[in-house]
Amino acid sequence: MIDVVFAHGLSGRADLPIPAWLVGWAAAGVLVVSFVSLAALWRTPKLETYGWRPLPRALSRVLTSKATDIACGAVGVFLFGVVIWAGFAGVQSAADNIAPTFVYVVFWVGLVPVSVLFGDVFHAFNPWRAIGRAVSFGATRLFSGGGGAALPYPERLGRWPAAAGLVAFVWLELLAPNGAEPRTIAAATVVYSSITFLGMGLYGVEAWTQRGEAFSTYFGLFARMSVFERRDREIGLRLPLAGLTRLQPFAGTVAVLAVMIGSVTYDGGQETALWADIGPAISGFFDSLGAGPALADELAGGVGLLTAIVLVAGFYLLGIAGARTVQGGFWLRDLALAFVHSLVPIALVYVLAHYLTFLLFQGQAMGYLISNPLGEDSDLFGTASWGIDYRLIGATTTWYVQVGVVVAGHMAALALAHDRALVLYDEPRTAVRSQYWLLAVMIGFTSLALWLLSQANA
Amino acid sequence: MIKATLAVAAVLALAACGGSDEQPAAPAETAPPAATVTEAETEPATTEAATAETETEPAETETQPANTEPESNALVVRVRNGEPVGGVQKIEVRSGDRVRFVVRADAPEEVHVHGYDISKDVGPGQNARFNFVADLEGVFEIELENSSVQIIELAVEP
Repeated sequence: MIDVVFAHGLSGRADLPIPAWLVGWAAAGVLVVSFVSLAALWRTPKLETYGWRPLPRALSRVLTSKATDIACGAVGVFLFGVVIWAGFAGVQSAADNIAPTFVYVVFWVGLVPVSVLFGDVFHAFNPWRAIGRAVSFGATRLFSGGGGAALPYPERLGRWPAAAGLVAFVWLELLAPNGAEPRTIAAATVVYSSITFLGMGLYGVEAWTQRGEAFSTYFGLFARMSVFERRDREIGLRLPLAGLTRLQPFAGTVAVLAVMIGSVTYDGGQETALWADIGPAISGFFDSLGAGPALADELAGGVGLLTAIVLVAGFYLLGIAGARTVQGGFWLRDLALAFVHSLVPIALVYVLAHYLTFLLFQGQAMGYLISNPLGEDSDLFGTASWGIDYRLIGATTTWYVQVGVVVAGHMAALALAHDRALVLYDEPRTAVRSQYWLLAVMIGFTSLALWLLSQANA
Repeated sequence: MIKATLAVAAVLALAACGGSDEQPAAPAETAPPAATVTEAETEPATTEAATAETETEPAETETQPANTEPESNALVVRVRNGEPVGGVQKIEVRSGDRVRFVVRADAPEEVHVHGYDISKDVGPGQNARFNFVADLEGVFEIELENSSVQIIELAVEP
């Protein structure tokens, strides 16, 4: 099997595996952090009820104004249009066409740290929301009384459509043999838009954006870690991570987090010696059914991806089941939803550890791609001859950053879980006992992250 | 505390596993970069299974072309029917070392070193000879540009 990191078509350089000695230090760091937090466990929640300090009014009003919303929406729709146009009309090479780099690097990876730092920026730039709002605005003008009220969003549907959408995107990114081809990306964008507009038509733009739309859900989760919070027309500051405590426990949230962590696990996992052993066997099985080598590889990857997602969900639910034994009175589902917000920092560090260098290097390609979006001969801004500087960050720095974020994520997850336990359980001592189970879950995910990093391209 | 102790044991075991999975070739054998590659060819136990195939054609991979370069053991990668003979070859060097290899192919193609962005044509009677300093760290793909088939994985460690 070809090393699939490179089959991505976009990777000019991949990370070296982190060396054993650094894994050892990182593991020790994780343990120290865990013991310290167990020992220093605070007794009253610090994140569950949090302070909010408003920013200067003028700034808030500008940022939350309708004009800003419309302008950002217009930018989003423009970029959305560029992706579709360049994807169909431009040269069909992943590295020379703006569509793959914009979608897989700037959008999918780049918006993650932006959301963590600045809040739900995607909400403003969301092209589907912008188009949906424009259409419903036009509809209410043209047909007085609108076209009819939206259906109420079914409670059992929850975030499941978002989870499905994320699986579909990740399948395209990691498994589809032509996933980096511009035309494929443009076509997928059109298909996804159709489904999204259907959902918006049925249940209303805002309801679908909040629960069913994959990317709003994805970036919205990371945005809850940000210090910026909007309340009506005001923007204010809060403690980092605190926003996660307000995460609505909609159905399917555990699935969303499992997809987020599981997909990065699979992406890293396919570079490991383990996959080198079992991957071809699974692929051979599908090939023997008559799938042909390319489809067989894709289906084998699909098995790997779905297995990773299911294992992540299963491992988390096992931990929750254990926490249930500490004090009765909780349904497994409710407890799982009560603690799922603590997985968001884990998902974040998985993304950062894995894709930071991808963002820093392939992201530089935007320099020349904006001048030459179709990969032909244009030079719109004079930057078409720019290249990528692979000296931007060395291997050693990369390792330290990867390990650092993994340990920090572990700390953040523990803090959130402990804070929630204090609210859920009557006795602080019961809360602490429930934390042993959550701690095991966190150590599991953190160790998995370190193991994957030590196997990268090994 | 029992659970915490189990956690310690689990993580330490995992760290130990992380150590044993790493290729033993890494720190001790990178002094002459070309030597690493030759050692990779003669020690099938420590490198990928692909090397075993290379050994069935020792004449192909160890002898020099007539117009030899000064170093005596550069890697020669042979491309037959669009595929690298013996699978994707691995080159591991330290940052600052020289990377040397030769590609021979039975059909016209272009060999492209990603990251370093070096391209050379190759074909029957026209070998592609590469000789550059590994000043970018990371893992880089070396492939046949037209067919997008990877022939070498270059790992440059700090």
